[in-house]
Amino acid sequence: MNFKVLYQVYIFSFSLSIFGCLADNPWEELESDYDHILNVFGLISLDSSQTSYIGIYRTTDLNETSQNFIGVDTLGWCDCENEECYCEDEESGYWIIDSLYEPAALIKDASVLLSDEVGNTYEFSFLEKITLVDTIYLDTTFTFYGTTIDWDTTIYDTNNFRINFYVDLTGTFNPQPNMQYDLSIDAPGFDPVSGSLRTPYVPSLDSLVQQGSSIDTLRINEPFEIFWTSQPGLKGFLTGEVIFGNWWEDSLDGRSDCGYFDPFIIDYSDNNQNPSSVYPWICNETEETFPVRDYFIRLTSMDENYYEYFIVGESGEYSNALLNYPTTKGRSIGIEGGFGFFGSIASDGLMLKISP
Amino acid sequence: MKKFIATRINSNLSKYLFIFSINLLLGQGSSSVSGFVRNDQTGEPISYANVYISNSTMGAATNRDGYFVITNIPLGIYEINASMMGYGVQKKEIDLSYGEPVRIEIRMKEEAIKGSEVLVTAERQKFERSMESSQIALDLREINSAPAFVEPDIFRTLQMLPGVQTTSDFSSALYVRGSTPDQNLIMLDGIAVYNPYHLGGIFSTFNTDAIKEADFHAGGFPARYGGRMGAILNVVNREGNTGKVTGSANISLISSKALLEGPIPKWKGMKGSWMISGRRTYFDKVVNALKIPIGQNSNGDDIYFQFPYYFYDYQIKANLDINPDHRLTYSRFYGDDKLKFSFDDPVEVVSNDNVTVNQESTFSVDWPWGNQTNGLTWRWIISPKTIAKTFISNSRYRFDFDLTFRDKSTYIYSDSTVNNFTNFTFNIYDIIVDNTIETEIDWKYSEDHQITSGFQIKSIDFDLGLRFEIDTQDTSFSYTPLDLKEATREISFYVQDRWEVSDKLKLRGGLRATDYNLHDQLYFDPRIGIKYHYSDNIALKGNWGIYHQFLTTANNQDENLRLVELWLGIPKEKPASISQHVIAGIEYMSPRNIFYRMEIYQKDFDNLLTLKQENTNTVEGTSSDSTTNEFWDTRGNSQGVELLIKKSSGKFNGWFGYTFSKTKYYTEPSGWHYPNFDRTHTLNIVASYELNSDLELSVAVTQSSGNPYTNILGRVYDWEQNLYSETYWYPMDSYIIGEKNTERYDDYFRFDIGMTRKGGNLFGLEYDTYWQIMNLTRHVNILSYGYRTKTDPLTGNQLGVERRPVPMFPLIFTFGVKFEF
Repeated sequence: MNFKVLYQVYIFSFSLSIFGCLADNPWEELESDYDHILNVFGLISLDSSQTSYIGIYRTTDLNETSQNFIGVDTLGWCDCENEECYCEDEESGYWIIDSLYEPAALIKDASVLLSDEVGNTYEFSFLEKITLVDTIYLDTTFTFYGTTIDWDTTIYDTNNFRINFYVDLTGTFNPQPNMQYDLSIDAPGFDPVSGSLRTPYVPSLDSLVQQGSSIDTLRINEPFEIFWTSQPGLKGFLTGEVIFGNWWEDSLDGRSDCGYFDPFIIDYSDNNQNPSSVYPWICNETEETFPVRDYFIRLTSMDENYYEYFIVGESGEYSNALLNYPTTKGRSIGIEGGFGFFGSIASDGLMLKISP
Repeated sequence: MKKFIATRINSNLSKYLFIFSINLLLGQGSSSVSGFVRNDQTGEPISYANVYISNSTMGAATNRDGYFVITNIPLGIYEINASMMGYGVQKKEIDLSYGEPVRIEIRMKEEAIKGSEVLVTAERQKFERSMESSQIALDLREINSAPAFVEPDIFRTLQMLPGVQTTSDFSSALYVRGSTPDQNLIMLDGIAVYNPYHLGGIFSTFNTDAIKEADFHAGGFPARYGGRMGAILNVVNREGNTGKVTGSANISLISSKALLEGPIPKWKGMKGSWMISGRRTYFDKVVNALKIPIGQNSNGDDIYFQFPYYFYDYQIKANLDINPDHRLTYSRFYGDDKLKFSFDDPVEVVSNDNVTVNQESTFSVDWPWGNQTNGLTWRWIISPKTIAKTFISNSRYRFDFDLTFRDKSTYIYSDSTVNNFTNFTFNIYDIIVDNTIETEIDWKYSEDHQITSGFQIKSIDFDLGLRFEIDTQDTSFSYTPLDLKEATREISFYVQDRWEVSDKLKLRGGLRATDYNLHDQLYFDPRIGIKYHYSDNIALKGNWGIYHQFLTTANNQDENLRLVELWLGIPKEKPASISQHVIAGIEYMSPRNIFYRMEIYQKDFDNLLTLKQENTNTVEGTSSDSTTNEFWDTRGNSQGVELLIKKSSGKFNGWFGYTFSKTKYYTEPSGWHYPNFDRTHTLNIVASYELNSDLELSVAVTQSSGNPYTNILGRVYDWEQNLYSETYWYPMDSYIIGEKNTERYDDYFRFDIGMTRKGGNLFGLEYDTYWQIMNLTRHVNILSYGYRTKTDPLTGNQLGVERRPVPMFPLIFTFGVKFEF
């Protein structure tokens, strides 16, 4: 035994161990064996800018295609003078094209009825490829809470906005606050789904106070207080952010964590939260680098179902870092007979300026 | 008076028999003999040695300190014998004619077994004396003979015993009869160690070179042990050579170890010994020496890959015999894992007509974690029948993860310079400090009663936190979403009596009372044990006990790999965890000293705490997505049957173990379910065989049911929301899961072999070499499954879900060299 032998054994051992580690285990396809049920997204919105809609899907098998390619969509022109475009030599620009997919789980032939507590019934119909409030962003300019904003249109992943939902095509559905609505869904081949909710009251943001004074223009990096009108109801969700005009400027100071305050839940029954103090942190922006910008604050009230689904969430029951998607036992919030939820929101917003 | 099997006829028979008989007839007074039995060469105490008076039935076995006492000996002159497998029988003449108790020290010499000698093995002594069910003591030879990962490891050996389970090859944590590792009291020389692992549990912190023996109780342990409700492991380090300075060194594939031991020079009648050992991994040194280039810095110099991790530990033990009645023992352990790396982005210079901008950034991680223990024991032999031990200890476990990002931009204008910087620090830490003082008195009240009593004051400080800090040139911001500081104190008193009702029947009753400072109640833990010797070789045992626990860990229940443990005291609003053990067993010691044991057990748990997993589908920024200190109330039970056949002496030794067990936990969201460590059937075989004086072969085989996991059934959309100026909801693919842990991985199988060759010589140094091949059959044991979505490369269609196993240990070959000097 000498050190040369030791070294050789060392190398041999490691090689053997590493080759042992490389034993390649084959992938196996998984199969499912369970009864499919409907999977519903039901939203009643009291905001004029937000359509109420019902999305209907089904659960899918593990060995089933989950989405199908159905075509392409042209998003916009990327001009090579813009440094964010990745151009070949002598190329002046290129079209940005997005692939379009349709969920295999999408149900298009369901019967969807919505009725309120005073006896009105509304039939919701399937509408392919509608766009919601986000559609307005596809215009070069748009008006949002009284403010005209220039907008770059070359940024969107169509799949975020190409959503197939059931909506009221008659124009008669006008949801009211504190009203009970019942949902009834029948789809061929599936158990029927029913749901129920009571809409929230519409909240009202009153005023902002910064450095002791009521204001309509925020100063950066100074805390301010938000007052709202107390109202009966459950919970509200408060957000605030710098509004960016286009995609190339979607962050401050090159960071994605600047420009907004941490959203938080307001319990309307807790007077200690009115007002709430927040901090519009914008990182290292200075007077030189930070022009006067738009700042938007939104207070969204929600019904019990919405709160339960999106705020309380589902208690995780199984975690595996090697799963490529999260897991769920399947939740039914506000509905029976299927997964998903049936909820309602109403919001108020303030658009103001923020300056150094 | 119990019967001892070891007697020997010698030439002095008639003399001693005569004196003994006369004394009995005359009914004169009595005396006692006590003392220590030690290895003559090293001075180490010998446990479970048989000490007896020639031609009588009087005798005793040594305890873990090598101490024995034989009482009620009629006055006279006797020959006292000590025997132990592997040692020659030692005899001493003692004169008890004057009625004074006699203290002696017996030093036994190691030698080969002689055919004419009738000897007693430690196994038989344990069989005869032990009241406790589910107890097993392992000596260094047994620890070393069981193949382990890269180097011998006591936890790996324990995992091969019946009743002990694990979650994976990568973990040396002990899951004992339905108990999780945090329910085990792991002690080093009596000091609690809170996270006794290196490298995320792959190695235990205990350096086997320094270990003398390990005492393991899988359940039903007596009242002197408290505060935990799973198992007890007391690792006892060597005391050090009392005769001369000796040492050894051990080089394995990943670490180097060294041990030195020797006597403390005698001074004013005081004497003692010391031992120091240390270990460090050196893979980082090897990789760094290879200078693997990974880029260049801003000066154009090569940057080399730096292996970011290593661990080390060292142990110190010193004994000082102040006089024959008083001994002080100091014990220290220190071990750390260190992960440290940093990246420096080269300085980037951007300039235009108006300004030049210099940008530089640094990212670094500094993460030490480990244990430190200090203990001082004062042993006072008040009388031959009464020994008091007072023990002061400090044990600290901490991990401290620091992540730092620094970004600096310097704007150089024609007439000015502006510096902007951002320092971001993320820190998560858990520090637990345990200060304990304990006194125990062991009193041999009479031949039939041995009373053990004591008190313990245990003060534990927990500090668990999560902190963010952001500093810029004009603002400073810190956020501490988690800051749990707790100071708990347990004051315990216990008393137990071992009562030898008759030669055949022995009882042990005990009670432990604990005051936990966060609760307004006193917790009582009664413990009862019974042993009935059906014959010389067959014993029936039963144990029942209540066990409370006042601390827990906050780790994800589904973790198969656990890097660190987050310890917490049981909160004020939660009751103490409680468990009830019921154990019945039968033991048989064959005439050839092969030990057979079959036990059945029932274990019930209540008030366990299971960390809530993070809620899914919650909105970022709301409080409900942080559950670091939120728990599900949990209860559970475990039942099982265990069989152990163990041979501890001879050329061929080892054990065969089989376990049938079922463990179920109940939490509100999951209902009754198998925890992820449950294995229904487990078969272990550990064997070693001395081919000759220089060559020893060892084999370990494990076959068990697969661990449970949760199956995925299908897919469904969950929705996420965005409620900023852009308001939209978007679907997220999620897997629908089945009932928790109702599926099982394929059966586990591993076949390891090892070989030790002794008697090598290198430059005059004696050395042993050892070789191991793990998982010789290359069986794919599944740690977990990895999943992916199969996608059509042309259309992007998502075609379905696939999985493949993530394996545990592949075939691994390791070797090492051990030098002795």
